[in-house]
Amino acid sequence: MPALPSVTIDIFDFLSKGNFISEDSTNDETKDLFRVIDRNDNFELLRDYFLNIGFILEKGAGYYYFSRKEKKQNLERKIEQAYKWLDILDFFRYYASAVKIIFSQGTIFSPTKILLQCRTNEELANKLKKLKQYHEFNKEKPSEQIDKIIEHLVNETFIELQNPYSEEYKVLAAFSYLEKFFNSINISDKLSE
Amino acid sequence: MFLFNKISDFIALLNKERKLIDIIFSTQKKAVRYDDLLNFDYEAHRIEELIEKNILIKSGRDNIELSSSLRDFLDKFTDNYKEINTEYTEWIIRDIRENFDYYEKENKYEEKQIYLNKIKRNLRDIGQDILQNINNIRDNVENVIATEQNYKLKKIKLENYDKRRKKINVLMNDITELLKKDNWKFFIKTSGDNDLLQIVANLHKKLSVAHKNWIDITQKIIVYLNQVKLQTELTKKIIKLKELKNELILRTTSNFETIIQNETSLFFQQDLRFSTKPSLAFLETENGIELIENINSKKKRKLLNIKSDETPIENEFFNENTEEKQRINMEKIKLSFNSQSENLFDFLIDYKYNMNMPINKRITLYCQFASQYSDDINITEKYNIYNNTNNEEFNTIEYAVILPK
Repeated sequence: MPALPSVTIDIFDFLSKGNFISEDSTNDETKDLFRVIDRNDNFELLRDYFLNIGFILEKGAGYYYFSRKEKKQNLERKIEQAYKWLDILDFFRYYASAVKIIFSQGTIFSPTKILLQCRTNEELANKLKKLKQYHEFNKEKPSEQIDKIIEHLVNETFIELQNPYSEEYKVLAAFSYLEKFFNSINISDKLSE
Repeated sequence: MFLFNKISDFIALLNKERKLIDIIFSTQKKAVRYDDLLNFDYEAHRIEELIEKNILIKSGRDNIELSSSLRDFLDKFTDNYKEINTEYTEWIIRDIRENFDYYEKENKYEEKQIYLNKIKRNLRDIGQDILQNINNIRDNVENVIATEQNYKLKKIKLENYDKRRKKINVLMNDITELLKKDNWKFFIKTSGDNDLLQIVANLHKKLSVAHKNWIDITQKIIVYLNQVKLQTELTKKIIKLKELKNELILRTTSNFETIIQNETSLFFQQDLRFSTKPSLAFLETENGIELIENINSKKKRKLLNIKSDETPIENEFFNENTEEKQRINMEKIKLSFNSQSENLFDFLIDYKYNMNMPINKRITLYCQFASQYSDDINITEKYNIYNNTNNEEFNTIEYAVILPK
């Protein structure tokens, strides 16, 4: 049996936190982990290995993540979480369409520009205000609120700080996981028209 | 073949004959007649020198043109190219076919050469034009994808480049088809013209490079246009989902609940925590001992920190004044009471306490005793009167007679 990569433990540590490993990460360590999984037969090797301990190494378009059969599911908590992400996605999409850009993998954006847009776009400002219902985004100032939302996206490995001087963030490949998730929801025919 | 000793000699000659080269280049891919050049006061030996050095070539009976490599270089360098569109494709393919037809039907050698030259020029131009068009589109597509921020404009621009890309493909297919035909293969082999063979070989090379680039452009355009399409659909979906969520009917009007139930990624699960006991074998090793010592010293430090965090104890708590609190041993009294015959009230009044007990406290103790040990004593229905002349407050007290059991 071929040997497991030496960074297997790093891959496990990273993915077991519910993170994503994106190929377009600007972080060298993350990028290296992606390359290792992607190299030769490593994906199959690691997939079989992690399967033995109950983790499924999943492959997305340019990203990897873990899934695991839940012994006890807290459905309401999961639904609440999905609602929160739907609201976040809606906020960024609304911003993107206001400034005529696409908010998806590869998009580069800055919190300052979002804040400026919030000042002139009432609907966007309302959407931001509504995000206060989630305790982690419940901040007095809009700028603090935007910072918290961005921090959340960074922590969940969907975006990364690309340029600390201009404070620009880059949307990573893992973001398409969220897009795929919401896209897979089918709305009953009558309503979707 | 490069017939100069040094590049500087080559450039010097180009510089010297720049006017002549300019005239031939500016005729836009048409050959110039030798005699016409002589009429421009060009001396024959200068023209001959350029022909000798492979800068100019003779084509046909008395035509002169730039060598193909120099023309390619100048075309490329001056970004001189014709945009390939439907008219261009139709015209050039028709022109080649017609000249081929004339060439086959013409019997005179010199006339045949004129048609052959036209075909050669067209074949060379096609290769060059296809490559230049492809490179131009590729640069523009890359530029638009990288720099155009407005995605609606970006989409329109890419759609336009996509149309041009398709037109180039038509020409590439037409010319490839033409070259594949048997009568063409026969013509190329039997013409005995090395220059034609070279041009056709170059055209194949150029078509191959162009094809690779064309695929690259196609992918880039398609990927982006598909992305825009998907994102537009996704945006509509998100808006609809949000609407249903706000109306509180998302769970009942979609398969949202099933999807989230079946989604097993760790992202949607609660954080995992792993806690493991350290192995005993490890704890016995030097590293293990070191670890224990570290934890121990950390704990100690933590305790010290906790103490230092608290407010200091006030000095008054450190003075030596002690407060003594005396208590009565009820059990002992009970034992004494049960071993004699006097009633409880008199017993407690006369009892020798180890502290100062005023009358009121003795009466309190009587009540306390009676209630605490009611099962161990005999409470009679008789009442006695206690007279005490020493105390004004308690001089006459009526009490129940309680006897030992």
